[in-house]
Amino acid sequence: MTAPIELIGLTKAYGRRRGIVDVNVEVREGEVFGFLGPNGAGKTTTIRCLAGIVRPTAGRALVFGRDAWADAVAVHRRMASVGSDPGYLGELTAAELFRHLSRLRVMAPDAWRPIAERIELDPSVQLRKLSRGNRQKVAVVDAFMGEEPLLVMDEPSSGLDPLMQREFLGLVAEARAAGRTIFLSSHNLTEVERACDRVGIVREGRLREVTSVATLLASHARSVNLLLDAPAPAGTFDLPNVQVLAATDREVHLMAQGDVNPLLGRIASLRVVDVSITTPDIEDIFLSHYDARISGAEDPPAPASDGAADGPPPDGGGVAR
Amino acid sequence: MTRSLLRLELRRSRALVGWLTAMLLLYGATMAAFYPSMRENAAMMQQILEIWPKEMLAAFGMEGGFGLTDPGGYFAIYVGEFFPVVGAIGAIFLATRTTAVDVDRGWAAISLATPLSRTRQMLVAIVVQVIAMGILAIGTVGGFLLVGPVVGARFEAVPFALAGLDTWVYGCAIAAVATLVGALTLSRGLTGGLVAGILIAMYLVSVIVAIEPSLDWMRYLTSFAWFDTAAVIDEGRVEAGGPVVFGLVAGFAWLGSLLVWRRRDLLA
Repeated sequence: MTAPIELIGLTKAYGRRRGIVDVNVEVREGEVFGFLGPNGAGKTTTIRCLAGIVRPTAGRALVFGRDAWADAVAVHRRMASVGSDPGYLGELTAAELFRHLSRLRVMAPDAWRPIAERIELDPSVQLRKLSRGNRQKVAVVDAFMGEEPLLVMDEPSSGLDPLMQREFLGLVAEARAAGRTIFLSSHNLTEVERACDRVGIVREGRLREVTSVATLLASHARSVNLLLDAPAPAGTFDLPNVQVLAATDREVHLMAQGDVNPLLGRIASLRVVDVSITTPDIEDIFLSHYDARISGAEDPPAPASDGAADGPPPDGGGVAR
Repeated sequence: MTRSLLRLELRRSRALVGWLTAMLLLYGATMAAFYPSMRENAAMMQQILEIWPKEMLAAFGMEGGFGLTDPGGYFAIYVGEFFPVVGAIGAIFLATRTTAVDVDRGWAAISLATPLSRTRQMLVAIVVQVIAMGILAIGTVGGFLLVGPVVGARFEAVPFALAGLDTWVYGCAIAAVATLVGALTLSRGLTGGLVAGILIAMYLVSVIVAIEPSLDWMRYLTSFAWFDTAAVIDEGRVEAGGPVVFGLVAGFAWLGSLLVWRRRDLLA
């Protein structure tokens, strides 16, 4: 079966400025794929390539096997895409905009209404009079009002209040349940953690890592703080992948990586007054990718780390599936 | 799909085309109202023209040998010379809306995120320009035809309609060139500057040619040589040259715009 999205060596340069470099990734049918990165990392450029707005300098962006640039009309029959802070025409009301877009997307003229009601968007107001948050609601309706099997969204929930972000996550979950594939870029790491099956982390135009959210979270260290009734016997924490960071008579601070069951077994043999195990959130993991840049280190492009990679091609890029 | 887009684009053009047409109508009507007075003082006007330096006459487009007191000459001098300015304003605004403004603001990306093809998008923009230029052309001759009977001037409907047709095709040529430049540059400022610059340069050439007969061959490089409404109105001489040249320019420029737009990287 043809993958909803396949980026093959996708490269886009804006003159001498870097856009994206050799991005390789395959998004599977029915998954929610998050695209993470700071401003200027190349997320929007990737989405513009997918939307057929800009022409790749090298490589290809395929949507259901069709070239997103050369075959844009056919691609858009199966893909809805909404950019970051879309430039809707201010003179239109939201209802007029949705009716117009419904005709262009060849769908029922009132298909937008249930979504608009659900996220409490007043469709009778001119778009130029809407606040940033309400304009973002328009983008959410635009994204979800159709039935295209692929949804591509660039920072779709930025500007939404927490209640609306929850609604947005609900819409994403329903779309996934309906078998639709979603590709979204985001700064909102909590949202990505909750919504996505896999994430790709992009930095300085290169895709650094593609992995499942669960694998990403599991593969990173956990912080364990123990308050003991009595000092632990010597060698209690001598375990692979466990590191004692600090210890006093009764307090121990550990870092544990990977499987924590051996450590839990050792802890069970002690008289524990209090224990806390902190799982790093995706923000910590994301930031750890940038710590290297801050400290001046440069890590090489990483192949897929969820165990399903084809392995890096000779040029160092990787196709992540 | 096409109907919806066309309706939206026409709606977006209403204010611009409406105001420009109202201005042309008002200006044409005002000038038509002065025509009887000009005609009554024909002898005096002729004397004034005879003592004016020929360079001055050329600069104001009065070198053509037709009389200011004839309807065609009067229309050509006072309104026909004015149309390229107003037509260019409308053409530049309309042509660069699709190719520059909508790209900058992100509306082009929204429209193209649907199964709308770039070809269809550009064709709709062209149709809107054709309609808009038609309305502006009606406004250009309409003031004369409306006010003529009121002030007792005899402005024949058919010759003026033919002059309107000439004006329409001329406007389309300006719009088409602006569309092509817009598709190439994706910039309203650059397009406006280039199109206005070309028109001004052509006007200067037409003035120089009128002063210096040895450069007469350059006349046909300017649009003003082909835009001869005086001959149409006064002599009933329908010369196909002008409309054919403007039609060819419009056709090739729009075709070029379509080809460029289909493959244009929209780097907004």
